[in-house]
Amino acid sequence: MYDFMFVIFATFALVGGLLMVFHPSIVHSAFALVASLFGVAGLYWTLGADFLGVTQVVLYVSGVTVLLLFAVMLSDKTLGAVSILRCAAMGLVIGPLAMALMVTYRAIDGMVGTEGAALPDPAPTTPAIGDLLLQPEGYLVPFEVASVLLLIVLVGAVTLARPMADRQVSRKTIADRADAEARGDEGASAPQGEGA
Amino acid sequence: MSPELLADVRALSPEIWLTVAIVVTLLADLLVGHRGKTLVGIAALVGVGGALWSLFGGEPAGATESSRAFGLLALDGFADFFRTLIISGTGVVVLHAMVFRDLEDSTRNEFLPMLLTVALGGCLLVSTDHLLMLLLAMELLSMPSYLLAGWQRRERRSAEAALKYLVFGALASALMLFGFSLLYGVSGSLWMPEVGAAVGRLWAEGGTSQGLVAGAVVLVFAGFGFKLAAFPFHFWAPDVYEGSPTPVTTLLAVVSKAAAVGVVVRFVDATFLGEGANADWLSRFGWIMAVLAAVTMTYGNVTAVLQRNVKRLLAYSSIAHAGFLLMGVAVMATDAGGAASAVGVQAIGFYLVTYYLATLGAFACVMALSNRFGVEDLDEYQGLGWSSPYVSGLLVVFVVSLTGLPPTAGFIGKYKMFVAAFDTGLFWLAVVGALNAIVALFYYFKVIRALYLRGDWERVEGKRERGLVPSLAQLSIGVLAAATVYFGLAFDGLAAWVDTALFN
Repeated sequence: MYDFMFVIFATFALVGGLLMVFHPSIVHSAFALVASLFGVAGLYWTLGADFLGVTQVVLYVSGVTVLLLFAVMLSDKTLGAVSILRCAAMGLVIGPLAMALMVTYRAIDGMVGTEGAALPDPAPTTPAIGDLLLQPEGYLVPFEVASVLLLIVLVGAVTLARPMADRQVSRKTIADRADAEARGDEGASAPQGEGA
Repeated sequence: MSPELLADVRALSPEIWLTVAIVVTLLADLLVGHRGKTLVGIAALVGVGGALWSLFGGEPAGATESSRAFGLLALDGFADFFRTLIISGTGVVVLHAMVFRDLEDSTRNEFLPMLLTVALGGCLLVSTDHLLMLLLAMELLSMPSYLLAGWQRRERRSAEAALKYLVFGALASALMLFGFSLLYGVSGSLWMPEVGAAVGRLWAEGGTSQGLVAGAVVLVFAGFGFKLAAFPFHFWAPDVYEGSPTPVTTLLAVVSKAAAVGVVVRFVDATFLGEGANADWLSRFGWIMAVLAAVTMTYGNVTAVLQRNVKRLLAYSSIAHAGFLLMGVAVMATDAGGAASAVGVQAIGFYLVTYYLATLGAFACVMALSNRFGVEDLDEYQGLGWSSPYVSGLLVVFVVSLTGLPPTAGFIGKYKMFVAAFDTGLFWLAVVGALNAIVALFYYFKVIRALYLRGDWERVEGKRERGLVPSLAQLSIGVLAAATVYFGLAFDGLAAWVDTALFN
């Protein structure tokens, strides 16, 4: 059983990974990435790490990749409406397929014989992980430290990325330049507002 | 809360002070906006002061039954020593960042919580002997540093510095993490003493296990060496030091480096010198550290001679000093579990204090001069000694201490380091170090020459800022210089403090 599931999920991971690297279209690459990440999630699942598997699906397959696709759609001007539709169609095929595999996991378990290595006992790991993360003797401090890290990186990234505060100044510079041109003064048109 | 939990929380109070200060500065910025920058700065300084107070004012770490907190942190005297350096250094940087002219006022308030986060990361980094916590603390130290390096958004150099730092830093972190995972693979534990026992056992086995252990340790030290700016991993340092806003450069040269030294010493001490240490492995490791130390200091010093920009010059100088500090690590590794490790740690501790005082002071002077005259190149420093006698005079003190000449603390630091090397049989390393001090004399003297012996001694009136905070910043430079000279003359007190602090 383990071998059988391993082959399926490993195929997903490897074929998806290769497709992602070699496909010329970035959107197809992104969808191949979905397949690959889903395959890895399935591998976690077969190893009995159900929490890790679900986290992989929630964070990477849905969160990160959707973000990636949005970034591509918003930035790439060559991407027409038609191909977005095609992408959506692909998503409609891949998504349910993947979910179906996940959901019917238990069902397949019953149907296929128990040859090969046995699957680990699918005891839920989530409560144990929660205990570890929130008990003082466990990993409470790293957990809190990670949240400080995320907060500060978020604030810092927003600060660095937000537009420069001297919009006013640059507008003024443009006005000055217009004035100067009106007066026929060539020298004043030096690019002062370059940073803005 | 149970009493044990309460004791754990109390032991962690410097970090809690810093975390509260981070949140308060962020919220204060939201409430008062960039017009209330002094208020936000004062909030940050109060946080730093509270953290220092809780380090000294609370009961000493040795008084409690166990110095461990939350299972993952070893809050012993060693950690307190480094935490003191890190937090006080950050306080000085915050003070100077409040008056640093080249920062936009609109982002100055977010600048301060970033500085405090670096301090928080450093504090956690030096007080853990668990590899997972170590990795997280390292990231907490690094991430804000990457952001801070690019804080001058108008400066192309600043963006370049941030990008280089990020790319090299991410690579170093990844290598270190890979090393940790290999160590975890061979030992089944992330706790340094257990990892060390596994390393000793595998090294004794010989064959491929030796290769595995050596590879893992090399990867781990790639991460440490990056933070330390030691030789093969130093490429980022000159560009990042030059391009970053000067308060950030100061932070990298002082706080980040002190934290890196702390983590290297603890890692070597807890992993390689603990129970189950392997003498053969240790001697090889020590030999590699000695070679790295020699190459690092020589490279830093020789390249520093060619520099024209003061920040770049100090960057190479800090690479050279990393070499001197690694010398102490080599001393530590000369003998397992014996006196040598204590001698090495003492030498490192003392050297680090002297380096800390002088580098912090030198960068503070660079900031003061750049605030007033807008200069950063040695050529532009010409004749400034007469225009700004106070700051220039103090800069000379710091530069003399960095060179390692008597009546300053730098001399005693180098002296103790060389004696430690001699005592443990590393004669050649001590000789290399002494030769390096001579090379260093040459380029440090270039700074003094530019200030006093060149130019036409014209008094230049720069922009002068008056008020409480600028005066405090100026005063802090004076205090650092006084400490540099005082500890050069009355070094017994400092040595005693370092010893009791480190081995408590």
